[in-house]
Amino acid sequence: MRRICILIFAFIISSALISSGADETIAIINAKIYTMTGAAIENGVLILKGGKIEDVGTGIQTPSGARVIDASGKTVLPGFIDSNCHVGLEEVNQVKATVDDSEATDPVTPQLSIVDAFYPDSKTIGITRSNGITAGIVSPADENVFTGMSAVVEFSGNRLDQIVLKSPSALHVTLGEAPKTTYGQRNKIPSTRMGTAFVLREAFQKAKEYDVKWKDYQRKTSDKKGKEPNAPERNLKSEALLQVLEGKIPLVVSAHRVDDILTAIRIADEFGITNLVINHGTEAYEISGILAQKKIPVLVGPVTTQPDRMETLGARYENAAMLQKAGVMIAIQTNDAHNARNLPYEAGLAVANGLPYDEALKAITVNPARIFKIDQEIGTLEKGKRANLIIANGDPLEPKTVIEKVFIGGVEMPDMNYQKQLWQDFTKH
Amino acid sequence: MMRVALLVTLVLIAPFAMCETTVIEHATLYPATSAVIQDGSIVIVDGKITEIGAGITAPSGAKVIDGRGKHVLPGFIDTHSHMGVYAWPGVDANSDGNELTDPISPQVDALDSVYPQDPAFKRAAAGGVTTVQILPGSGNLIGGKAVTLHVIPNAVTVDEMVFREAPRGIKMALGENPKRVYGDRNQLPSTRMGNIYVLRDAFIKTEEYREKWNRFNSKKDDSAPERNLKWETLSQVLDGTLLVHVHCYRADEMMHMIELADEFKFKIKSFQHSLEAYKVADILAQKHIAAATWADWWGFKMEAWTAVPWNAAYLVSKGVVVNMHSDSSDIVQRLNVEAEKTLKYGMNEADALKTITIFPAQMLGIDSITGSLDKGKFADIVIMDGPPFSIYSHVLQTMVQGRTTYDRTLAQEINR
Repeated sequence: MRRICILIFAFIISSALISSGADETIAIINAKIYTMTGAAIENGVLILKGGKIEDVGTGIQTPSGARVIDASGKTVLPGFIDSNCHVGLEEVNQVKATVDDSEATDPVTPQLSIVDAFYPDSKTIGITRSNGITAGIVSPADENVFTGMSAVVEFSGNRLDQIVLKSPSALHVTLGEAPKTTYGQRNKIPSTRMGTAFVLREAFQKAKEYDVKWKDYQRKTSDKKGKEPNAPERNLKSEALLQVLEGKIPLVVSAHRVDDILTAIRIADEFGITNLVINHGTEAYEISGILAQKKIPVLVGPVTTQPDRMETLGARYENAAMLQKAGVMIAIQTNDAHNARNLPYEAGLAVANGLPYDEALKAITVNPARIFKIDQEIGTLEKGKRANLIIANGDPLEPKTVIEKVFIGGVEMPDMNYQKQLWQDFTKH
Repeated sequence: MMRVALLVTLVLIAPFAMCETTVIEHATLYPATSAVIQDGSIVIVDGKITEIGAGITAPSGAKVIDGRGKHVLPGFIDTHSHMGVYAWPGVDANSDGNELTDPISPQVDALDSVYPQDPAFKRAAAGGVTTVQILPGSGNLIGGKAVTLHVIPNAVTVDEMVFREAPRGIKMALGENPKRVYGDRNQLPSTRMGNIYVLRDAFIKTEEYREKWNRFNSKKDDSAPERNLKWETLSQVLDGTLLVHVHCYRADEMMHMIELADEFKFKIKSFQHSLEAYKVADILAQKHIAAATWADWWGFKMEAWTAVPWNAAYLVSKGVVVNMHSDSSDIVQRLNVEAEKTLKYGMNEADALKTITIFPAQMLGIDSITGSLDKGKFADIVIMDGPPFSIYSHVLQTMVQGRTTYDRTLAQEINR
């Protein structure tokens, strides 16, 4: 089964990453360290070894032979994680040859994986990383009803096997205006919200029937009675959907309006989907109680979402704060490729609109790691975690702050990107 | 006719609406044209700044605003906005910014498309914006006349918003947009060489039109030529009465445009977007061409592929008048944050403030009237609860000519 292959592939990839860490031992000293597991540590020490965090705290001895980085007056944090971005999937938006984020040929494409489209040499990667974002849940763009599978990608090396941390990380669905506009224009279903809901139900229903067929076949094969049964035809769409129905990966539903969010919840309940995540959630604050009670996380944003479309008329800057206050697990996202570098400022803007500072940091570090179940590896600065971290010369949520150093898997990333190179080439800086 | 009637009414009403004195006391004042003043006061009489400095006592009977802990700045100015001409929500029915039926459309006027109840105006006021230039879109080589507006939320008519002292502008555009729009229809222009040809042709026709009228006016010809609103408008470009704002991303196109302007002897007031201006900074400075740009927007199309976030700071260091424009009803709400972004690419705070106040005022030809906290200028003022270059600071109050256009204590209504 392809599912198993995917799982094995994912395992191989993560193993490769774990063993390919940096050889260098680095000691960052005198830093203010936000570990994201408790209060910030003043005058802290952080030791990086073998691509991982060897130790973190105060009064830790610097290992002999270690490269020492004096971070006096600096802030050290886990690398930021964008919980919904398209980095590596779009290079120049208006040049179709470089855009691979949406397979808008069929409203049902759950079988697609962004891993097969991700461009490891994309200029957007280094530029995003320069602002301290070290990983992202790279997802297909909102357009089809089922858009495909996302992956957790680190913004480092140039080989897929070095940068894909988890694949698939979720299956993605779009409700609301996008699918009905795309397919309605072609006089195809869905052209209405009820059409979209039907397309969703039908696909899950088929996946369930597919599962029954295969289980039936496996039972008959193992019975060894009578004649050999014919294997059912494979269906990659249903196989992808079964990962959600079996609770192996979350179902991330992009929805802005309250009614669209409730449609997602209704259909998830009908099919026993327990791992539902709402993406955007522009009006989620209206039903924060329901989301908290059902433990449905929301990938808020972008925080700058404006009441500029019919389905976002309820946009409020306070959305993140209101959801967090109600007990909803939130992450913050950019839904962008070129502007994904603004993720920390999206979080800063949420703080300006009532979100507690520590919660804003969580929303771009540990929370997305938890929602996508990669918190064993990234999202906090703890012993044994991957050494993905940044050194900032101030508050990293402030646009004026410079991210001075970025480490991914214990490796210091080059202080150069495409734009900096251009700048130097044309101004002799 | 109706517009004239409204104007008359407004002129009659205006003096009665004001006649009051307000003082903001004990505030941190950022004049933009001079150093920051700690514990200063600013006196506003009848919508104008009459005094500013430390140690000023409030005139008796003045309305006093306690400025302790508050930061007072000139109202922010956006030179590139489509509010009202692409009113929210963004549905086809509200799309009135691009008259995409003729690549040379100087005869249309953005003023005639502005919907004053676009909710974005309210949000812009909440972001401390007091003045905006509304431009037609960039689908045409010449998109039409631009208009400078005071940001007055809940205005019923656009006449209540028009910044009467501001010279009118005209929008031109080079690059991908015009050649894409008309190229897709297999019409001229479909290439950059087509763009320049069509523009040059328009100016030649304008010169011929002017010559015809000159002959008539000097009685060399007996019959009056037929009026043509396109060439009449472009005539104003050649006269220098319309400020020319050219949407231009690439440096090579800036050079073509400069050549064209030299050929027909008109001045380019600004390049808009200007993402590659860093490649020709010295020339822009020497030609006194201003540059409107973003802090870090890039990559959405090929001509935005070579943007660098050092652009604005570098241009300022070379003596170019730079302003952070929005071209977006979202970004217009946080011009101070856009300016803050430039700080890490080499801008200093004093210059960063200029890029959203006095520099855009210069670009729009209104720097003697607004754009700084100076005696005699319009009381276009923002009061913030923290320093302007922090994402955590909020606008508490915005004033246009002393009139409150936003008050954070009533902020809930902004949101729904």
